[in-house]
Amino acid sequence: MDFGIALPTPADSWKTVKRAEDAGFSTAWFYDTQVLSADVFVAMGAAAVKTDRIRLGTGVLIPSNRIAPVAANGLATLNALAPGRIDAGFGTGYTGRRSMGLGPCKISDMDEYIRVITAMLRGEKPDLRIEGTTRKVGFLNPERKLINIEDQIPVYVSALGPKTRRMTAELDAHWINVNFTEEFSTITARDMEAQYRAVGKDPAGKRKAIFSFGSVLH
Amino acid sequence: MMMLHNAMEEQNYGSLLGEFASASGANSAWDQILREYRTVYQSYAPADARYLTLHKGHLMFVRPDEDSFATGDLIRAMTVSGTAPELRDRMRRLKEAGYDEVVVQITPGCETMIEDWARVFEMV
Repeated sequence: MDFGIALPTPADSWKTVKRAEDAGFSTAWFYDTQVLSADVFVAMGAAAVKTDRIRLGTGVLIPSNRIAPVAANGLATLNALAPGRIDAGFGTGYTGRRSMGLGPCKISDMDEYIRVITAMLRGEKPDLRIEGTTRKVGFLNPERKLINIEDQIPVYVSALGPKTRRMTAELDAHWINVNFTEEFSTITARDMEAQYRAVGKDPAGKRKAIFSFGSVLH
Repeated sequence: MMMLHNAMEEQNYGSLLGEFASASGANSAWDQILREYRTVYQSYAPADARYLTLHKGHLMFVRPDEDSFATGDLIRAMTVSGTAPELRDRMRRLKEAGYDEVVVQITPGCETMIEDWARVFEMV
């Protein structure tokens, strides 16, 4: 089993990430909480150039915080700075939206958002619904190497309920859960495996990560 | 604290725990805590933007107005905290449940948590 850290993204979080890398952690996940923490992509950029091995994940991007092409661009830019070390985590938005008096994003919007981003990262030109119309959108010159869409960016979805777990399976994404209680963590893990099987996916090929909040008592 | 914040806004947005949310009256001690916390919550101003106070410090620090709720019992019940051997066992159970990765938050200002958790994970 791998172990990662999660950060309420300070601007200089690269220092903490470097320290975690030296301690053997496999991934650093950065919160996208715009009125509570530093900007997720700026902080991840610094971490990308200051580390060598640790994976860097958006933990987790809120769809309403930036339009899909901008999110895809941010991920592809990080991928240029830390090739093959970027994980793209997405969520409906709890902290980042509640702290602005908003509820979670609609699941259908989130599904569409992730599909546009992953299509762009595959070099495709998907339809984007924007400003009341639909336009095709895609990276126009990735071959110039200003960004990197050649190395794969694994996709994770933070899914705490059955509908979002179903969406995770249908997107063929890896899964992020939260360790609220042991019962919750155990039962939802079984459900996530069932969701993958229900859409014809092999759960063994999908990663299950769980965020766990607490401290080691001395 | 997050569970208290979640409970205060549950009527508006539903519970983070979904079908696992506690039914009202199922746990009288928790319901009492919620009633007391709600009294504090309802003092936040302005009334149409209580979220500006409620989520201040989210996952980073406990506010003075809610400090009295951060008891040892609540911390034990609502966080994954314990001695290194206790946490080692909890992590092992997560591994048995099929998880590939456990992610622990490193709170700004408490970076020694990195080494604390690294020692736990070495034992898993």
